[in-house]
Amino acid sequence: MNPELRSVFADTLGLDPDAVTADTSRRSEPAWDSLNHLRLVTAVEETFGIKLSMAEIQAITTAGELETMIDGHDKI
Amino acid sequence: MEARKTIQRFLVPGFVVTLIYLVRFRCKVSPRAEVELSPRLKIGEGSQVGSFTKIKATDGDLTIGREVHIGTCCFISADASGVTIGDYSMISPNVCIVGNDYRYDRLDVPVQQQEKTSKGIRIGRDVWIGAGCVVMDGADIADHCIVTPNSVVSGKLETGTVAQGMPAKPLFVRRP
Repeated sequence: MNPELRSVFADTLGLDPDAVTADTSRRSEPAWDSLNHLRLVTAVEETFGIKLSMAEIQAITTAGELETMIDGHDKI
Repeated sequence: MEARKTIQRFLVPGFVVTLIYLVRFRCKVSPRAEVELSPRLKIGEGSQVGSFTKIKATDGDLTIGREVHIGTCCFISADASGVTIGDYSMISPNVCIVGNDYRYDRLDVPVQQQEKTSKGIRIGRDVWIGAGCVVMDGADIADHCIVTPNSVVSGKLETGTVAQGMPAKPLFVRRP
């Protein structure tokens, strides 16, 4: 998993970076609530220089999905 | 003026106020709410005011748009510079919106006896204020903003901002 994304997850959700995997999900991680989801998206957009749509934001359920989304986006 | 205010506050039953606002503005005010009968208060059609909410507009204009939902136990008070709440906004329970402040630059005079100030409050269209928030005088909340519960807003929030904290700071911007 991208170490920068791992770091964003760890900082935003207060997790141990080693505990963040592609399978980390909104369902399995209690700290990944609706507000932290928005914080996470803002941090990802700032870190990777991309802009996600509301539909994409709402579709994210795992760290792996977010990583795939980031890879598929051009920098703005 | 004082006698009129006293009569309105203490002698007009809640259901009469409810009927007056229903007929005059086609809005639903709970009979258990305390909404002043003031010519300075305008409520848009389809708006709702929950029980135990107090709305004061004797000292300034208070304009509430169409289809605004105001929850239970809120306090909304307008002063000289007024308070506006845009159409389709939602004010959750226990929200305080107070359109005045006090000067506090003298120590020899109690704050309550120092000059009252008012910059006014503007809440745009389609704004959602979470439960327990405080909106202070001078706040300017643009359209489509969301303020998370227990936040304090005292400044400007740009369009579509989701804000949180004390003072409320942007954490996300809504987009298409």
